[in-house]
Amino acid sequence: MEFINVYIAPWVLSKQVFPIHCVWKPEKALSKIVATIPQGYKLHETLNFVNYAFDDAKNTISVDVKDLKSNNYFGIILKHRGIIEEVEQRDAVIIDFQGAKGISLKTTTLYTRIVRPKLEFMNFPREIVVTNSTNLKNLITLEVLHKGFGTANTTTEVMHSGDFISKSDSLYFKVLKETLERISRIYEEPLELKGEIEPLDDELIRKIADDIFKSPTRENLPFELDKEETELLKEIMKDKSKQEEVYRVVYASLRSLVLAALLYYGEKHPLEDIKMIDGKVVATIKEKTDELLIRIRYFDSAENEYPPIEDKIKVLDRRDPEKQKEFETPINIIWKKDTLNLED
Amino acid sequence: MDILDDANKGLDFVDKIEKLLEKLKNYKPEIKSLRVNYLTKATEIKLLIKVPQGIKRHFRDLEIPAYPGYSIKEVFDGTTLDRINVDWQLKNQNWIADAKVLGASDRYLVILEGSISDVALERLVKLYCPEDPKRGSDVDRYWIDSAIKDMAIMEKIYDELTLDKVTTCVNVGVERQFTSSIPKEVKNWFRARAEADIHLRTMDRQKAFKSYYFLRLAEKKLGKLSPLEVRNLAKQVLSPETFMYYVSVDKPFHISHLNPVEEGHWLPEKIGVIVETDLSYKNPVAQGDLIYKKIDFASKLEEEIKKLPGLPEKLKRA
Repeated sequence: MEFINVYIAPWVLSKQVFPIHCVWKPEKALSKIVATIPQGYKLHETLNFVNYAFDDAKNTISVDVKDLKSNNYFGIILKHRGIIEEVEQRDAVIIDFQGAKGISLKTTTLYTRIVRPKLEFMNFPREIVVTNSTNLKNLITLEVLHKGFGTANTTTEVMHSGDFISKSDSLYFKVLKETLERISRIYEEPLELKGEIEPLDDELIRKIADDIFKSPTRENLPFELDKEETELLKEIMKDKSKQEEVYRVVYASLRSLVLAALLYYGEKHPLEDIKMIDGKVVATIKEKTDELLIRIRYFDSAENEYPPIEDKIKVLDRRDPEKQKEFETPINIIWKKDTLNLED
Repeated sequence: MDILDDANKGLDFVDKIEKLLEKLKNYKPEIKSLRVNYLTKATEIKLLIKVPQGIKRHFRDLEIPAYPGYSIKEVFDGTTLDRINVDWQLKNQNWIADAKVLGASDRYLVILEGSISDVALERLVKLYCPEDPKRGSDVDRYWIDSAIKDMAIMEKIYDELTLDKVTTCVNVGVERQFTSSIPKEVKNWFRARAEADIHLRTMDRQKAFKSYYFLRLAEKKLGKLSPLEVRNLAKQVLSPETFMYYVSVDKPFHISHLNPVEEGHWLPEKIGVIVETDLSYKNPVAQGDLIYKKIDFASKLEEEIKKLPGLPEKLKRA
């Protein structure tokens, strides 16, 4: 028996389907193909055949050659069922080409390669000391290592009053919030445009306004609006007569919106394979905060969510008692990468 | 239209051909080839029929059943391969032609054209590619695989099945090259300008004054760069005409076209690269890599940023 082509997808994330197929020179002696699928994988689809027998105990799929639509081609689509622990997992798929009485004519073993991103804290501050002269922009800096493969879509959260919250520090959110507030006021007060405005293209203004307000959800806005705000925005956008005013507000905010969006774009992608969904985030330190619990949640490009990484920082507030007010401080993350080498 | 209707339409494609063959059985029909264009969904069937002189004399008319969605494109003499001008008349769901125009030959090649539904196409072929590439220092690599899934609808009929322009979209991530190519000084200026704008709008005199001060400082260092120029620059370098030089694909695939994917925030994070290949009954699978030359693309971006009007000389030289 002679193969023309034997293929398995070189790498794939968990729960993503991937192909395996063989093409051979037509072989008269061939009567059956038996493929052993490793544990933890699901047969998603078949290529070039519909009828087959599946042996649950052995996890094998058997196909009679007469059931192949084209007599020299066999393919299966598999999917790894769960998320993997290590950065990669390899399992053998054995395909046995059998002649009469189950005698093996040829066997091929192909190895799957399931990969994942994996985050680890490299340097994590055990404690921070706040004094009257502390530079609040550089109070918290963590180092996080991205091991493994593929994009990690991350959200950094801080425990506040029992809940993990991700509060973005991005200028973009501030501009958006301010723009939304101005739009909300369209009903309340006559619009007055102030400040210098560059001549800009009309199409862009409409596109931006539509993008923001088409559906004010997390996909279009980088923060959640409360129900009341969402309703109000939808109401405004429904009212055709108000739409022009919305465009005018966006027009007035356009330069800062575009600039902040450009900056946010950069913040979101600090390193290849890292996406910070909320950009840089801030921690709020209150009068009596003595500990910060920081958590980084992440999921891969196939939306597999992995166990988050988290740790505690002790907060020592050495400021004069009368200056011990609540403040916000950014969580600076230095991302490092140790990419999984996929060469065999 | 519901899903069932769509599915039935998919099956229709097979039914029509089988019905057609059944009705033409007196002419001993033989399908020579079926060509499906994945992109346009156009199909072309080459049908060889035999019309002996006896039949011509006896029936005088040549009849080919007409089904919606199919039409007769051309007829050739099966021996000389000369094109025959036939005046087809539609009568009682049949295409009818005067058998006299067929001449002396007894074999004819009839070319029918029609279309295939999305559902049938979906059953016919599968394409796969990963979400994330293998990162190299200079290039990113994505694997692509396409395979004929189910030849059942071709079963018994077609040995000469050709699927042209089987396409898939590989989403190439460009965000890092874009963000790392904007100089830090330009980003600082963006921030100063945006903050000043907000403060001017809020009419907080103290904040407005302070931010204006920083803005003047930033402008002094950086000149008057418009953010729209930067946005337009991004749009231009990410346009298909420019970006196509930074992606390549292994044979038997080739690049059909590019399609920037905007994910909000008005800048594309990914470029959809549409790759295509041809598959056939004899070559049911195709594999290859798509390569994104990210370092070359980053250099191009840096070069273009330096051409921005208003950018100070100091930064242009950097």
